[in-house]
Amino acid sequence: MKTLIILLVILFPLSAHADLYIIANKNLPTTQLEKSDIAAIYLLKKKHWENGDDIMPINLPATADARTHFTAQVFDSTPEKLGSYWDKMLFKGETPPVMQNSEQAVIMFVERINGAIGYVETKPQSSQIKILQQFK
Amino acid sequence: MSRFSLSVRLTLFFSFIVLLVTVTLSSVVFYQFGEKINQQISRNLTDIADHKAAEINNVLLFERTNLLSWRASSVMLDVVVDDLDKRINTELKNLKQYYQLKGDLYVFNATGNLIASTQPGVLKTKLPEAWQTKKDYQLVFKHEVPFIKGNVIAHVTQLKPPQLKMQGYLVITHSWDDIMKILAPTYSSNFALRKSSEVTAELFTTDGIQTIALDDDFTEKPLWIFGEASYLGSISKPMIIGDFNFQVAAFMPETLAQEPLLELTKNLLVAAAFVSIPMIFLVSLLSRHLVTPIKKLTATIRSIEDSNDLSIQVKVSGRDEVADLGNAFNRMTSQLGVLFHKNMVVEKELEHLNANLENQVVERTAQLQETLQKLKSAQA
Repeated sequence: MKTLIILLVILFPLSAHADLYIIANKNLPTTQLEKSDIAAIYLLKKKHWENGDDIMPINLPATADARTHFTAQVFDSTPEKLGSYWDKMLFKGETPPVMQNSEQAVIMFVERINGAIGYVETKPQSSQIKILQQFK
Repeated sequence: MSRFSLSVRLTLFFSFIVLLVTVTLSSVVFYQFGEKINQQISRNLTDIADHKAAEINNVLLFERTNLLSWRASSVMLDVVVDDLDKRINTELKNLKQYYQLKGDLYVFNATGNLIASTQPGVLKTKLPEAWQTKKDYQLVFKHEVPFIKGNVIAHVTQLKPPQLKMQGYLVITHSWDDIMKILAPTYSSNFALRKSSEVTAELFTTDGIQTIALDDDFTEKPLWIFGEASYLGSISKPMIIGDFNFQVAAFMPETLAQEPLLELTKNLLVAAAFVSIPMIFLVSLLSRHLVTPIKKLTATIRSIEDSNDLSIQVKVSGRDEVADLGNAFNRMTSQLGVLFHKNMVVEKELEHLNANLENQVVERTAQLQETLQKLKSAQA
């Protein structure tokens, strides 16, 4: 029985993933964001919200599970590929997404900065945050 | 009539002339060198002051430049999340170690709480009043902060990431003691530091810090008196860091500044003594040489006086005025000798004539008596 559980965990690792939440500050007029918009934001192509505020995408380290989950869901890609894309953009003078080390830091960043957008696997409880999209 | 001999008077006279020339030349040299030495000291003091000011300026500019580059680091964005993941704290510690900073680094968030620091045990402290600024960068000169021991200088800069409003402050401190070490008094100089906007400065002495009056008319004051000693002084060019200006003044004890002049005077006097001694000897020889013929003449006159011998002649050598005098004297005595001789011959002739006349008178008298006897005998 124990062996079966281990096998199931190994064979279906994705099923162990928590939900992925795309979060933003509650003051943002936007209430929902399509996958394509999220991709455009993180590819540094969409830079302003509808109200004109600058968009500040927040990233997690390449080793974070949430980032693997995010790149797979939104880009159908890997953190490394997306990382090399941002490196190229940096050479073109585009600032890559702001890196935060932990999900708590991402949540706090979004709480405090109106134009920030981030992704977390833990559902934020803060009243300052709204969820723009949720991925399984 | 002087009571000193001619040779002594001549020696004294020439010595006086030599002394006068030496003193005049020494005075000219002394004055000229004195001026030059004072100018050189003034230039040296300015150089020293400039050097010290530049040394402090370099230290502070280095910190300012670094601070402004560090604040642009992406890690500083974590100020938004109160350094939740301690990345700023780690960065500050690395920077302190890598740059071997003598002070500490502090990051305050927008509400003024200390969220990262290289100084242990001070997190959550409130931003000190002295560091509250609305400027992008500000240098806060010597001041005290509740959580730091001793006085410090602080560079305060706002953390203002791109696209965001001000999110906090990044501060670097520099211990005032370290600046004091740069301005510590040396054997030859004391230093004072002045904020260009103020009329006082802090003078660093071996007895501690002294506040002195120091305004923009620095160069008009030739001598500075601190305690019981007087000093020569010079001030550096103003140094500018952000909107903070300062100057360093250097002072040198007057006694020390005059040492080269006193040394020069001593050497001049020694040189004058070295010249004077052989000079007096030579002058003495010269005067003897001049006076000797006159002495000989005097001795000859005395011997003529004693012996009544006008044939004695003065030995004459050379063709100068004294030789002329000797020759004239010899001619005079020769002529006098001839005259005296003629006089003596006439005198002797007269004596002889007188003697003959007496004999003739005696003879005639005898003849007359004889004749008279004969007549008497004839009559009788």
